[in-house]
Amino acid sequence: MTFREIFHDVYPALVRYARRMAGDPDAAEDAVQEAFVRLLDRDVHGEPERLRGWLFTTVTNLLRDRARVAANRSRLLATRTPMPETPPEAADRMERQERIRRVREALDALDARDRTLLLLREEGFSYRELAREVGVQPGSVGTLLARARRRFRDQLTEK
Amino acid sequence: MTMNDRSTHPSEGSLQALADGELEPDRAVDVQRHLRGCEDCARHLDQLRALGDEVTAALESLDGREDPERWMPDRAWETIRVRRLDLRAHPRAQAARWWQHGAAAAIVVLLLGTGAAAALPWSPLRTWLSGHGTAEVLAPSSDTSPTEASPGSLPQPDPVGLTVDLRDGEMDLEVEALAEDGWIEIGRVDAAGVSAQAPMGTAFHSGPGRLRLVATGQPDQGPIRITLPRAVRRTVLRIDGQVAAVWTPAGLVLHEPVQADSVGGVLRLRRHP
Repeated sequence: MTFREIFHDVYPALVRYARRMAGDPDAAEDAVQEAFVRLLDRDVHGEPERLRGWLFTTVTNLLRDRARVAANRSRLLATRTPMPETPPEAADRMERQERIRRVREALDALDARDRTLLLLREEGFSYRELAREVGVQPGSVGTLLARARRRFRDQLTEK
Repeated sequence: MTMNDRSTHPSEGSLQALADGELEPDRAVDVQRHLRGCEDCARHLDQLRALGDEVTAALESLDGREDPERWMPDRAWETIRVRRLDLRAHPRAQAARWWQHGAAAAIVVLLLGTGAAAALPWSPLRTWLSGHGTAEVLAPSSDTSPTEASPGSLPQPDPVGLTVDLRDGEMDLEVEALAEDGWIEIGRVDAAGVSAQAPMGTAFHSGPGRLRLVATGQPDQGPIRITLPRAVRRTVLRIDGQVAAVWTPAGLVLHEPVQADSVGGVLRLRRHP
């Protein structure tokens, strides 16, 4: 599998994951691009599964390290909230923005492990891969995942 | 003990793994057998599946619908490639002079192979070239090098600054002109048999694992040619202190500011303006 094939295979899922994780599309794409640049520069080799794991881990770490992501997100939400009037399309948009805000807050309320488990599972990571990513035994992933999903749902319904 | 015995209820983790298709086959058979006789566990499994669907739907609402172009890998590939160029470009006035000069002709040929300079007991090259056994034969990578994806989209290079010719695993580097005070360095060479030739006015400095060529005055016309043997496994090429290219068993990795174009089996490189 060539580098470019890996890129095409992984990129959409990686961007989706990063956007969900960061909440800021620009910060997400910035992290994804940085991860691929590092993959190239550091001459990382291995099976496609390993490279995929490396990329997701790198993006996770990049996003975690960038404290400014949270500030940017707060600023974006704050600037988008006020709407001067409510024609039907604007009302739909507001409803959608409100939904996004609630999901975003529910996700942010989770601890890093729960959030990573949820988002990586959504991108098709196997239990074995999830265990490696968050540093637990594969046999405990089902339990952790069920708890993470329940916490997320509980946070969502509280909002 | 029957499968309906409370003590044999599968754990929530097992039910979740079953819902996610991640349970070991043998264990899955046992759990499914239990579910046929246990309404509580069957209901719990349904709840976990519904919860999973609910989480998926909630997370999908974050994905946004704006600017679908941003999700296209082709566009992103170019963005990343350009960004990589930008990240590595450190414009320097000195570097700009690299590709501009030419002069008259006398060429000094130095052979720095095992049979020439290294034969001198005081030569640093002796240290450099000794102790390196033969390694695997170089095979220019056609599909794993990060550069493979870009030649078709690169602008056509006009003034060729550096030519890399890969023939049967041997690598010939040719630098078209060396400006005054400009220098080129081949480093981390891990095999013997390196040869180089350069125009008059070029000084050679060598040390363990490296060779540096420096223009001591206005250089004469003519290229610098460096030939690396096929046994070389990893080489770093620096121009004016900047890494221009790294040759590894996986292929030639270009660093910036360098652009590449493959013509007739020869890779031509030029510095990014």
